[in-house]
Amino acid sequence: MSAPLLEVKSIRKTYPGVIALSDVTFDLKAGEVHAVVGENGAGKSTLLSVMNGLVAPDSGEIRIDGQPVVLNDPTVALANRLALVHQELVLCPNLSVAENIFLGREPAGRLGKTRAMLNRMAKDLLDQIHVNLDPSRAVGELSLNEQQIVEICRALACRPRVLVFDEPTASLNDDQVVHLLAVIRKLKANGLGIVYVSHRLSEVMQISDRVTVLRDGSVVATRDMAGLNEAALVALMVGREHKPGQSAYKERRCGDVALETKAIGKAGVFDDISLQVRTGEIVGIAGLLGCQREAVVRAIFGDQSIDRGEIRVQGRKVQLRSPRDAIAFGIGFMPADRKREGLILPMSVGDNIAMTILRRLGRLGFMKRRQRNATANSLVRTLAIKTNGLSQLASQLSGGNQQKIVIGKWIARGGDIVIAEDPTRGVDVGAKFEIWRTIQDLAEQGKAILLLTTELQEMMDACDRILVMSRGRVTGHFHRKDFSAEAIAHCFVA
Amino acid sequence: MTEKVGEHVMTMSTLETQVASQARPPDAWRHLSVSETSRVAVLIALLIAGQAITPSFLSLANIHVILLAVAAIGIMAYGMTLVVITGEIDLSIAGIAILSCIAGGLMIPTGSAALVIGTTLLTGLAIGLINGILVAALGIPSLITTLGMLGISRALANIFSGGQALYPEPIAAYLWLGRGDLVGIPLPVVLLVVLGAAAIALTKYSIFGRALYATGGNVKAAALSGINVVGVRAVVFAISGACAALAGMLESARLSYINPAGFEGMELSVLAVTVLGGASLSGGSGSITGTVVAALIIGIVNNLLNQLGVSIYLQQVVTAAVILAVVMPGMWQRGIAK
Repeated sequence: MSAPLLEVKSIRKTYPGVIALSDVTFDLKAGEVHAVVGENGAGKSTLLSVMNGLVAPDSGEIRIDGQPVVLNDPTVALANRLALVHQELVLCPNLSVAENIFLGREPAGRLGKTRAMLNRMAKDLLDQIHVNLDPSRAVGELSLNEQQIVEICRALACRPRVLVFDEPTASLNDDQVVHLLAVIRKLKANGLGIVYVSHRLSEVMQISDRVTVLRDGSVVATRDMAGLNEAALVALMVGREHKPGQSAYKERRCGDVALETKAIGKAGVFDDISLQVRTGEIVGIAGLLGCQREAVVRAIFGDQSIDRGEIRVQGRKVQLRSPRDAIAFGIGFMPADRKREGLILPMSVGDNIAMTILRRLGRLGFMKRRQRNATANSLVRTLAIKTNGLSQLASQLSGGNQQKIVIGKWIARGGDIVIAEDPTRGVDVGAKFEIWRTIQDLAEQGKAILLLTTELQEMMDACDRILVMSRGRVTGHFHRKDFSAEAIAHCFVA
Repeated sequence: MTEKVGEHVMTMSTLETQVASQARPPDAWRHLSVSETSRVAVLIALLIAGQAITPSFLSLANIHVILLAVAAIGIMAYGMTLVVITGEIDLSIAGIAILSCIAGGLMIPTGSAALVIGTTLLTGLAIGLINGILVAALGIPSLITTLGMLGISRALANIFSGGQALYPEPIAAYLWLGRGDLVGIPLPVVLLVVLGAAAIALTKYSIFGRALYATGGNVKAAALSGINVVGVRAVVFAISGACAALAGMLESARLSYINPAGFEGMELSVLAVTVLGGASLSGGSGSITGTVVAALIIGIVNNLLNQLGVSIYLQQVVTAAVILAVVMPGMWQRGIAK
């Protein structure tokens, strides 16, 4: 039998005081999808960095086609045709889709011809993954989801033999995930070896041939995916029994209407949106990319304007010219993109939590430090935020803990209405469960919650009612007892 | 048992962060803490070198000379630091200083010190506020806004004064600002220290300070958290304008001469002090203490070069070299510069 395409042998990496990876071994065959899963902090990032040449291991070796290689730089990894699809978007917003895809690898040619050629080559790649995107558009104009597609095409453009996906679907919706998985199957059929790292276990189950589970820097198990169910996988990851997909939903009694929109619209974006959220109720807005549900919630938060219709809070008609107005009326907003919109990364955990209540914490303009610390500490405890202390920078926390800060700062504010946009994006299984439980608790306490998620199943688990939007209009309305993925998906394209 | 697991996971996630920060050095712009130490080290080295070169270096008289020389630039740099923390820049300070002083100077014939001083400061505040409104409310980039304002205010200063210098001799209180002292300490130095303390309180201990760093760190996230980002930026430009007017007045009073062509290139010296003080032009970082140390470094270098009789042009070369020497080690350490 020939050697596996990629072998990672007894990799060990320590940092002062911590063992990041201890004796990690796994292999990848050509034409195989091998998933690597584990909670945040399990060592996945370090392992990916080692494979990509960003971090040198203390001991152990990496073999490609049976030949030991020293990957001391990402370019060496690329030369060995091992490419990584980054989780973080590292694109130039001012350049076109095609230019980004072939950045640094532009084909030689005469000036005028090159652009057309680039666009054509990019179009080929995009067609491969069934995405209809104009290669000449500037990346800065694209949505987060479309930018992720560009990132994937960039890796594909290197004609890799080993392709490493690091959370490729973190910002894709269900529809696009299906496309991506189809592409991965195609790549696999072409004989590529694929390492797939994702928090979304349902995808991992669908796409992988084998799975390696990491916990605390060690390999817990490498198994064939066939015959393994999600519960067993989660148990391996967290080391304890833990039901996946469980949203902690509790029956609640809903009160008066806290938030209401009456036929609000904005020219060319959305129109005739009427919705109600009662106290203690969780209402979801479902829809595919481009359905404009994000624009609707931003209008409700005063971050975008509306041309018609009215917004009512606790029965009172309100004019929301800015987020500050919305906050004054007791509305809180947890944006999906926590790095760009949710947090001030170079500031501390404590400062970030206190951001919504600065005015309350002032005495003659000075910060009441003791009160700030008390508030922030109690939230760190209730939300189980893993941090070294309030002075740790927000940028140093894992995704799940960052998300908890975003939630925490709105709990601190204490408004009656919460808009949560994809609160579990890119968050690991354990934190996901805690976040859903927190959102249920908030509803229990009588908050009115408007929820957006990319995963329909999560939304169905969490919500009392779901509205469906398509092309800027409401196309469906379901009560919990009538939830059905099929019926809802039907409204996606209505 | 769960506690133990939690602890372990915590150290692991800090570790992942370490890995991440190794992979992405540009983040290091955000906190140049290493250069904080190198800044202080350079300051101490200069003090020792100074004493070795000229025995009178650490005499009270010479310390007064050094502090007097940096008073104006330091006060302007306080304002500039606040502006730079929000991620903006103020290139109009020299223009504001001169126009404010001319505007105040036009009040000299009234003989009222309050009117002269008040007009000077209010003019600076008003021009700064205009800058702030243009930048924050109308969204014009600060580089362009303040560059334009620099040109406009210099030109207006010439128009109002007819190109002639004004002489504040009749206003005793005005002269006192630049030449007087309080319990033996020159007044500009008193103001440098008092305003420095106020600026430190503002940036470190006030709620405005948190809003300031938030606006510079991530303006979108700050706005979505309910911070008045327009107000914050308008206020810092107004403060910078007032600081410029005050600094201009101290210099004019010291020279007892309001020169409509004065302060040439001052904005760049002030910006240099601010950057040397650790503020990153990308916003979100910087400190008043850093700016103070930076101003002292520049002041001492110039003082020593003066005592050694080095020409003014060579002084500029040496000053620029010192700035590079202080800023670069920190960057190397963090892998920003290759």
